[in-house]
Amino acid sequence: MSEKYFWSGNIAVAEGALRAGVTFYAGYPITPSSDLMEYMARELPKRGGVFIQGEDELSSINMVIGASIAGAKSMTATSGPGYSLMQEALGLAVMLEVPLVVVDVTRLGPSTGQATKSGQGDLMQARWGRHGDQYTVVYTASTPEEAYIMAIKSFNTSEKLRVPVTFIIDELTAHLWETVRVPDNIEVVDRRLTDAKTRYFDSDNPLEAPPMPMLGKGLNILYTSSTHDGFGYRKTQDPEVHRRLVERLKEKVIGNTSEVFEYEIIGDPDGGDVGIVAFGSVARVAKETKTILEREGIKTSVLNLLTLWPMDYELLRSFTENMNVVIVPEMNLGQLVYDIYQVRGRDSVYPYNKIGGGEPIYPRELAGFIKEVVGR
Amino acid sequence: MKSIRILGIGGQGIAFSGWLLGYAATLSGLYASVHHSYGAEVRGGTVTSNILIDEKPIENPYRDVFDVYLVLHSFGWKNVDTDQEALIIADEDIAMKNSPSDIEISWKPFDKIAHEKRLPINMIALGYLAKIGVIEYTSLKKAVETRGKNIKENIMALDIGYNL
Repeated sequence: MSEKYFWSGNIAVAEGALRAGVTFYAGYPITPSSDLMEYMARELPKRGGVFIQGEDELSSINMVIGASIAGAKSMTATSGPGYSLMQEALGLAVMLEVPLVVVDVTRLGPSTGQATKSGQGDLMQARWGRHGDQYTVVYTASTPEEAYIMAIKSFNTSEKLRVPVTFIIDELTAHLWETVRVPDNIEVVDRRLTDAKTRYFDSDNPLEAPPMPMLGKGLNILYTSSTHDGFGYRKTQDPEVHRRLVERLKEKVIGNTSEVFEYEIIGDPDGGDVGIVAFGSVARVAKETKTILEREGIKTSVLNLLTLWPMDYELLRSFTENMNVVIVPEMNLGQLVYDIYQVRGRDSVYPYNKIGGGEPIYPRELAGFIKEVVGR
Repeated sequence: MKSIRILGIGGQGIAFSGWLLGYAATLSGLYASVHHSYGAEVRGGTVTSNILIDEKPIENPYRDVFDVYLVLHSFGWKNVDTDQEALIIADEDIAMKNSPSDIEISWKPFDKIAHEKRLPINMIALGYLAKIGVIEYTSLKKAVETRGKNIKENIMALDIGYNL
């Protein structure tokens, strides 16, 4: 039996994080993420954790990294402008293999854009915002209920793979209040620790992250952002050490794609008149659009992506290949659509883009566009 | 499914009213979705709250047509879809300006009562929504009691609206 709550998306993320065992939060307020932070400021100390408001996003994310190295499940939340400021530190977290979760409550950019309005323009930044060859995991959610589940999944993946995870939640979902059913049983993954002198930064199985060294056990651990060997020693001249490290950091994420990938298909996954691929608030609009179209005899399926990186291209291919047309509605000028182009080419793939004003894509509007496309 | 849009300006408690309807529906065992639209200002900007209530989880909360509109300020009219059939309830003083002339509107003296009795306008209007069956009155009262501030005043306002 599950319990029911009335939560916003932001509160659901916070509650999910608490269920996952977060014990450290540092952040700097920014619309539309501030209410998540306020909730954590109130709830985290009550539940035995530490909450700190940093002087800015740079200090906050660096405190999160430090707390995680010290052993705490750690997180922050921000929005586009703050997320941009955190990129340098996130690159550090990739290199040091520090598990943490950054929630990016997405608004309209570039720059400060429209602070209170929803957007989905941070998708590519979440994947590629850091310099160098770097691979992280990006999750999202389309309902507060999914946000709760995916927040837990974010921590689980982060701890399992020793990788920073970005959780994207668009403002419309973050500030949507909804009746949420919380499941009784849910898996929580804790990090693998060691108190032995071993290789903390290498693994013979590249799919498996090395264990993290415990602090306070007398282990002298080197954490350096420069290229390092398995024990953490700087090796900035050795091509083989660099190759081994960075290829492993990639394989750890890309090689585990099927393990980390979450999605939902509504309708027939094997083909139809229309396939809609969407994420976040737009996925819910797509579901109602399916209902509208099917009333008119247009067979429609919806792929609701809960993982935005790494991408399961096999799944995308199998979902899209037998659809007569594929529609990719996004609240940006077209970012996710490039994944569809990659597996299907541009033939009968139609982006539908809406930005500005914070208006959702409405089902009537999307259905109208699709009917026009199908009629061509 | 019931769909309600409440429109007004910042400071009237529009967002809180929408939240309270959703919370009350959840308390009574139903499913609710509530989302608001507003600007960066704390007071004076337009605020819209969209509420859906159903017996099963809600497929999509983002829509532009509603069964019931509650207009508590004239700024709200631009977000009322007058092409569709709907019940439109509006405040007879502060929403009269710029109101559409070609549709039927149920005018109510929410603001007048709020001033006379020194009670919050949003609670009077919510009481009226309970009267017309949008929400179960007992759950609405329970929602106010468990989460609200100034419980006595708010319940008094709900009662007045419910008996309008």
